[in-house]
Amino acid sequence: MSAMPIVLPSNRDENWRYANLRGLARARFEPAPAPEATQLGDIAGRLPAALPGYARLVLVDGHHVAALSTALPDVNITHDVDAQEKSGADQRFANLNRRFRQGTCRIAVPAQAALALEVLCVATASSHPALDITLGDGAKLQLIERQLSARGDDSTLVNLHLAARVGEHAQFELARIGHHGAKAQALDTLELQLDVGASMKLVQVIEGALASRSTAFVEHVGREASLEWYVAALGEGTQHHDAFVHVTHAAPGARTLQCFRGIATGRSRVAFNGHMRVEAAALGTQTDQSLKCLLAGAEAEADVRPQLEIYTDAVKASHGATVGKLDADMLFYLLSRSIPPATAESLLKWAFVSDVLAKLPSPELRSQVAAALERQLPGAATRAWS
Amino acid sequence: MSQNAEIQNAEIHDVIGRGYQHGFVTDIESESLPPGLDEDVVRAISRIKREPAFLTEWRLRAFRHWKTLSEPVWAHVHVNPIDYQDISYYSAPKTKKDGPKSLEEVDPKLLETYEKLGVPLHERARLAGVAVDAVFDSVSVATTFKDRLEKAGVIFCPFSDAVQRHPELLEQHLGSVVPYTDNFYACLNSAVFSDGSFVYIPKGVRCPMELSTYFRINAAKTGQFERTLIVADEGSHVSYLEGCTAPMRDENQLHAAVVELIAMADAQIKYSTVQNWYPGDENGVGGIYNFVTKRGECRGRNSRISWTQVETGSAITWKYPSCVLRGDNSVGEFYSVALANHRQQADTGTKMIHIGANTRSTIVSKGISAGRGQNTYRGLVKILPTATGARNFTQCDSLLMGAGCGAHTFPYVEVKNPSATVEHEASTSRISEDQLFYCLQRGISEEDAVNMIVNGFCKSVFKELPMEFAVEAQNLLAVSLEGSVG
Repeated sequence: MSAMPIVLPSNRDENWRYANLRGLARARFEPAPAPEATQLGDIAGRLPAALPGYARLVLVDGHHVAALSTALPDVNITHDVDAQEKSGADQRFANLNRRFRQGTCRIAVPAQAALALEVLCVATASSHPALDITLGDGAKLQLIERQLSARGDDSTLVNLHLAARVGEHAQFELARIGHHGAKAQALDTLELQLDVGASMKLVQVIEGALASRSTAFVEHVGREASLEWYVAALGEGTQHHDAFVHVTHAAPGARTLQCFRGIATGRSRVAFNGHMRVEAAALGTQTDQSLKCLLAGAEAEADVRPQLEIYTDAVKASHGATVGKLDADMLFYLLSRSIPPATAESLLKWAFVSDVLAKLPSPELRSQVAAALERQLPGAATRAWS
Repeated sequence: MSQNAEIQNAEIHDVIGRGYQHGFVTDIESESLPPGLDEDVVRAISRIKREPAFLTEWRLRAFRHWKTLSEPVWAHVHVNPIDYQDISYYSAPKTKKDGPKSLEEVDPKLLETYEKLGVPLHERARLAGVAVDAVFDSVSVATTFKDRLEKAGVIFCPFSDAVQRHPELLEQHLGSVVPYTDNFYACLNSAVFSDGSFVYIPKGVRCPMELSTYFRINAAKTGQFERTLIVADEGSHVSYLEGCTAPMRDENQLHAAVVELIAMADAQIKYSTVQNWYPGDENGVGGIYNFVTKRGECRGRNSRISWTQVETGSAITWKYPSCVLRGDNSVGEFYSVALANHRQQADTGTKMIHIGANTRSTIVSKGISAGRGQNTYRGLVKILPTATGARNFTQCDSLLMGAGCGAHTFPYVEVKNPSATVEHEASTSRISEDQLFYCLQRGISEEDAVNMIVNGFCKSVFKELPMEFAVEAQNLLAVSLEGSVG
């Protein structure tokens, strides 16, 4: 393990200006040891119900726990020592992960094969889970990655790194859900490469945790690759959720759709920074960003940055961003039909984030997510999906 | 084709074929300080201007602070290193000792220069209806319609005159919107600014004519560091126009200006710019580095500040005309067309800071990139917790013309009040093939068609310009796009 000093990004770094890094100055990054066999029963009892059709892989504090996981021929767990660190402020948490990870979970889906897998990253203290995914040509992977604190009030720290290479005409569907404790710090770095004709769809729901920061780099390296990126962030109390997604279009005919829906209540803060870069070679690229935030607390804050960086004229790029309160006309419409104010507000908030939640892949997962959102969106668990 | 149409076409081709028209040099004797920058230079400029002690001290404080700063590197531009010790910070045409008292005493060569630039310095050109302050390198050489403006109580004079005649107003307002600590270039300007315009509109006065300042860089190895301060007192109204040109040279020259606008309660300031500094040649050799800080503060209730800019010149533009909306119900507007052709680089946009209740702002930005030009819109909309009911609408479109150009959009939206509404929309694309085909099949040449489409793209900004400027802006755009088609 390297003895190099730990250097964290700061709010002076351009892509970190909206992140909450205060709590990290005192954080302990050294990973927790592997769980004792006696702890596993307790942990197993706290895991969400299994999803039909999905194999399960459980990592506790970044350590693979075979006893709680499905045996899979396509999954290898290797132990990387001193994985190559990268430079730049955006790589600092990824470098921490490379330094402290307790093994890399390598998922390789062979060409033309299909796999549906749920990865549960459980944290009892500090953990640095690492996933390395390869999809062969024409392969299909449905992956649900969930992060959860072992106990609801834990001051856990999760610093995940996920790297994926999606082969020619392969399909990768990734759903990411955080079920962190109230005092948790959640960090993650995604690095994705899309080959010729590859498609990727990501749906992420950010809730829980005192502070979260999600950093993603996606590169369209093959022609006519497509990317759909849906993120919903729900902040309450003093929570702080920040997401940064940098998409590079380096090959012709790329398509990217980005959709962010954020709700900030109380004194919380939600932020989204989406950066689309279109290289000179990426002729015929089309990109679209739709970033919307709802402020529903007297001291809530929302920050959005839809950025475009374009180096060719053969491109169609657009973005729209709005920040505001609940639409008064819609609210009046519901109130005039005798719907109580609290229910009406909850309904409208639900509709607001439905653009993202409805994209979650399995009905059982949607129900579990809706149940987790019950406190923030009363009645969510009983609401029908459109 | 009718005779009228033929004449019109010939006019358009005439305009397109002209290239940069204002690249000549006026051969005139001038007095300059030797290149270099230290406290002695700052004191020398202040001494030449016969400034009161408070201003000399202010300059020196700025200079000492500037030495602690480094150039900003966050903009999306590539700047060749600037040797600040190789610039002459003061250059002025040699004049009679006490300077010209009237237009008759102004050097005829200077008047000829402004005639060539189409700037009406002779008051007999009343039809123009615009009062002009002409700034040549580091000094103001003429100001027109002074008497008529004085009758209305309007002060419109060179900054160096204002220092002598209205020091109390300057001491009160100078640096109150853009303090010398603001940024590297504003700080440099605060230390070495040489002239500029000062405008004061008294309470309840509607300025009887448009005011205009025309900036001209002439001397080589110099920079221009002018300062403009406009104060609109309660219930007043003023429309101010700004134009600028420079000779064609292979060297890069620095223009680092500061503009401060102050609008008291119920006052309105409309500030329009057609920026036509020399952009360099098609290979990116020469041209002006235009690093400007412009900011307006709506201090009083119901005040309004409107920025309209057409940026066609400069090798590099770094400029963000902004509004601080402090007064309740105040309004900020920003309308911009920025063109980057050949190797030009523009990083421009605005900041709208909402502090007062029910403040409103509108941003309309049109960026055109051609050749290998790089055009960046950078904007901040910030709603502070006190800005209850604030609203912002931003539209930011980019047009791309050529495989080697770039268009970039970096908006920041920061909202800290739940009653605010902020909307931002943007699009980037090349000229619509359908629109082009429609024009071509009606016998319009490709170049003319592109000019028409570009003018249509910019229409929402041009309509905010005073009429004379709108015509000039359209012509400039056509000239600047020369060679970008095909």
